[in-house]
Amino acid sequence: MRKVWIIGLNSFRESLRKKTLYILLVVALIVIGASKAFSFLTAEEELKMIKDVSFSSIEFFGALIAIFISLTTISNEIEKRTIYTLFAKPITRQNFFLGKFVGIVMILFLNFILMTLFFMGLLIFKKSPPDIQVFKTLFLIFIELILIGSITLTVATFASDAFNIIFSVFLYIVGHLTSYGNQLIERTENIILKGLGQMLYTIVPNYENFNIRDKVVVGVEVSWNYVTKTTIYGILYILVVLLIGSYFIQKREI
Amino acid sequence: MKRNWIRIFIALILFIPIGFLQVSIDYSKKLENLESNILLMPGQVAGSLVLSGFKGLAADLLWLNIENYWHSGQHYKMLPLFEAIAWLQPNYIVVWAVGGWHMAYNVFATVRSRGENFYEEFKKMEENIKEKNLKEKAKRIVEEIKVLIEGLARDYEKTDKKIEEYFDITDKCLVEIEEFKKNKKLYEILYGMINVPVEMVFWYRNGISFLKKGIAYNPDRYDLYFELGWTYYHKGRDYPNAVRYLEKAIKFPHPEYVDDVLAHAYEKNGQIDLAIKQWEKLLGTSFDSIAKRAIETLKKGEPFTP
Repeated sequence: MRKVWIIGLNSFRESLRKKTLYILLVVALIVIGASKAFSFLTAEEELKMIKDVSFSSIEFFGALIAIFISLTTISNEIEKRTIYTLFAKPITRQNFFLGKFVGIVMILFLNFILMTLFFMGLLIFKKSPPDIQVFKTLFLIFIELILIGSITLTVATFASDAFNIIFSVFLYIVGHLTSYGNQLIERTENIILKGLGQMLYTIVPNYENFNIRDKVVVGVEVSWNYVTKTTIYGILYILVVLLIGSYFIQKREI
Repeated sequence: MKRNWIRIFIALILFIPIGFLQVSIDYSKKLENLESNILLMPGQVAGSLVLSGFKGLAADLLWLNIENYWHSGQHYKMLPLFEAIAWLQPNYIVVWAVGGWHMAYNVFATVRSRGENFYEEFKKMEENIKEKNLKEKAKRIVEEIKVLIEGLARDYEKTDKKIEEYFDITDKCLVEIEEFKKNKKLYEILYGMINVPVEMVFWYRNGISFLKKGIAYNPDRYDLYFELGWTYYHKGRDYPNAVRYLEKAIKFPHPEYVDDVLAHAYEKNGQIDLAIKQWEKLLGTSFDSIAKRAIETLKKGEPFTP
């Protein structure tokens, strides 16, 4: 476990040196800050806009950061040949893979906290301190970001960067549409198609599960029961993805 | 190597609880009203946002478009956007409230001003009508419709029964203008003007039905019941319906002004005893002095609400 932690910490430090990270973070903060520009609207509408823009920015830029950081974290080690030095030490491929995952979670957490603090500052400035629903929304967004990052990391164990980026972005969009797909499946009468559809619906990560922001901003209260179930869903999915990733990293020729 | 396969096996097994969890989450979504509907949005930006799971942001962009259309007076362009936002975020009360108000008040007023334009046009061409009989007839029709338009804009009741009476007038006028068909320009002015009250009623009813649709999505909040009750009370002078919806509004946590409007609605609906009771509820609130005056006046048998 200590080895995993050390690799994670190093991976985190290395990610901090990437300029893409800062560019995305600055753009995200600018976008969140720009939501203050809607002051020509009524107070209620402005607050809704601030929440909408901020939640969306935290998720969107968080997803971009998750994809870009996870994308290169393994391929960089191979390109720079540092992976050989690492494997010369008593470090297993599983340690390496899990360490990378820990590093990604740390960097995502740091970015997430920075963007969230900025958002909270805006809410407090608007004299509307965040309520528990806001925290539930942010929490689920964070779980979603870890899931996105872990999927990209896993794909990085067996595919090229180009394929990975296309796959991850595509999955991000499809993952938000699976609920709609399910509505279509429910109307299908063909049993085979229905079965295949249901299987796909289970296999493809349902990112819409984590999306409660559209409801929270208009005052719908989301229960703890829902948040708990979705969190377990997220954790189980991350576990599945990591198991698949650890299988492929073991098989990979280095 | 064999141990490596176990990982994949466990991963596949884990899809079973994931599948069950997804079913449970879908059920919770239905219970907690967290489901969202797909919609192809007007405009590429909004469409792509919806497809990427940013429905709230898409709704905000459309709302900003509404603001633009509002300030540039393009009232009709706002209508599909209200529908789109309401579809994207059906629990966003402001959209239903503003949309309903916009139709029943603003578009209604825009149509009315078109009636004034037709009237001005008629006045300009009145002198050119050579045949005295036709001129008098056209003048009478225009004046009759003008009175109807002004009445609808001010204080005419807009109950279903009354609206049928207004439509009887417009139908009669439509038959009468048949003989003006030879004078195409005059016919168009008269036809356009007769349609103005019909369209005013159409937009009033559209506002009402938009608010009712909003209530269907948000039945457990006072807001839209109040908006609907107020529209019936103020715009429609349809007091039975106003009372019906305001009574529903006060069943949920609500501000004091809702009770105030209900008290007025009771009085206008002839339910003086209920009006007095309603005013009594407002004693000791910020409406205290008004409530005292209202109770005193109503008990004397005099009208309080102008």
